[in-house]
Amino acid sequence: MISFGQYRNGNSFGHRLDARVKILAMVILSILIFQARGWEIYLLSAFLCAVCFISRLKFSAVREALRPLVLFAVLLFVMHLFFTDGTPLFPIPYLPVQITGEGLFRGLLISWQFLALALSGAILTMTTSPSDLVCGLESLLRPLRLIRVPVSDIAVMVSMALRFVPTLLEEYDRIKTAQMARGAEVETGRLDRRMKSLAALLFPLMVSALRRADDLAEAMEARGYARGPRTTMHQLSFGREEATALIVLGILLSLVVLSKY
Amino acid sequence: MIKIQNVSYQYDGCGIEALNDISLDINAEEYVALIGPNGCGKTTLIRQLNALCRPDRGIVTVDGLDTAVAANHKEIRRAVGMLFQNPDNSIVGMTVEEDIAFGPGNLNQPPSEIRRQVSEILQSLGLQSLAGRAPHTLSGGEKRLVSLAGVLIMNPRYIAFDEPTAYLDPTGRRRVLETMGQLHRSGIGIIHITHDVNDMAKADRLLVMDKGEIIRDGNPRDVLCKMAEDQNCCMSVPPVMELIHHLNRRGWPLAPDILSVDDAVREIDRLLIGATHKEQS
Repeated sequence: MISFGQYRNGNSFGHRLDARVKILAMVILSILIFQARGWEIYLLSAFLCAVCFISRLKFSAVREALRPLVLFAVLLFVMHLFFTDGTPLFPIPYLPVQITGEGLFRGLLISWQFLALALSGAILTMTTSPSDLVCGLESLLRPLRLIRVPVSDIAVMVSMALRFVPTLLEEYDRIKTAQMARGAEVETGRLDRRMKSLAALLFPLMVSALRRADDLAEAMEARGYARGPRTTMHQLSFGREEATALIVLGILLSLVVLSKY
Repeated sequence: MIKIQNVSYQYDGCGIEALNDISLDINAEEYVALIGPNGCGKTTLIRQLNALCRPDRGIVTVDGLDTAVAANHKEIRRAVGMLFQNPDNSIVGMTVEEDIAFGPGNLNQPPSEIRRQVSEILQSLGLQSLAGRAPHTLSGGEKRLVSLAGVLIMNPRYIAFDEPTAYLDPTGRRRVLETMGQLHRSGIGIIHITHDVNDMAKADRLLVMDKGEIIRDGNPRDVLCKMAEDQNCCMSVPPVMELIHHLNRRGWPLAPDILSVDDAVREIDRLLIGATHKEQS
């Protein structure tokens, strides 16, 4: 099972922080990461490490979260290394590609940006329960109600999608086992046969998901669900810790912005 | 009281009457068992009670509120709780407590009040240890109880259970049935769809459906007794009752309305002791 950024229970500063502040911080960090050059890269890397430390996230957990993405980062690096125009560092005989100084710099930058973005996302999801995340998202998007965006419905949709991920994975496993019991080559055999078996897996899964969606809609209706604003048991609170986090974020943002002028 | 008057209903494009001119009153605090072969309209009937589907012809009212009027739906859905056959598809929250909080959230209750109610319900059903668990990690019995908690938090006056003990192991089954019994004793009207002959016997009233119609309605003893006598009946009766009827046909003068093994033992004892006394005298 994919474990990217799975929530880890805890009571650190990072865990306690209001989900809205954490989402906002992630958005600001993403913008900063995208435009970072030179010393900003060191500053942001140090900041992300500090956040991991105060959120008491173990190095092994962070490594585990980023492991599936390292391959993509390497791929991005290699692509930029070989396919960026500029001054060649040294000639490569018999090959139509060349390694340029610009390519090396760009490759390193893009891979760092990719991993830094993934890390900030992983920190958010590892320190915030899915429910708090949805609640924070709903609260942040609330002003959009003024232009008739159905914010509550979107929040319910997101939480419903998160709720059914494990159920659908279980269903996938069940269908796979049933097909294998009837001789389907899902995990072994020739590639073309495996692809065929995969199609035979996905269709029942889709049908089952649609049926579930029907049942779920009925169950929600039976419990009084109707489109429009609704309340939840979660209560977001903005206190001293949130204010501190916002001030630190503000300082980081001002440092980067002021350095541009 | 739930009043169903001359209700007929057809699913879109189906062409078959799922409910055919049904008239029925269900009193508050009554325990009604509903039985019938698959596809006979049992689930369609209980969906009518919660306004999940509205009659094509006829009227359904819940404590005077007409299910055909959209403005009544919120109150009707609060009054009549529904427990679906597959709890997996009716648990909407990411954790147990969030799922239970779904109903009060729809009624726009404040978060502190929702938390208070959730904690009360968890305690009353003994589910505190499951509060933070994700639904897919629960056992079948636990899922049913969590679904039930989500219904109970709305303070319903009636609850319709659609085969609540299907696929459960004996422990889960016992726990669900005990909870249903407690709810009935606390004054909640129960409508229980079941295929289990032992469950039917516990009800105050037994309804038998076939092809969209109610073909029998009455005290479980009488209804099951008539079903046992009817050689062409499509439904099975409790094995004890079947045995008594076989013995009756062979000339044993046993009371035909026996439902439990204990009663059967007592009745056979009475007969045998009576026979021994006769021989001695």
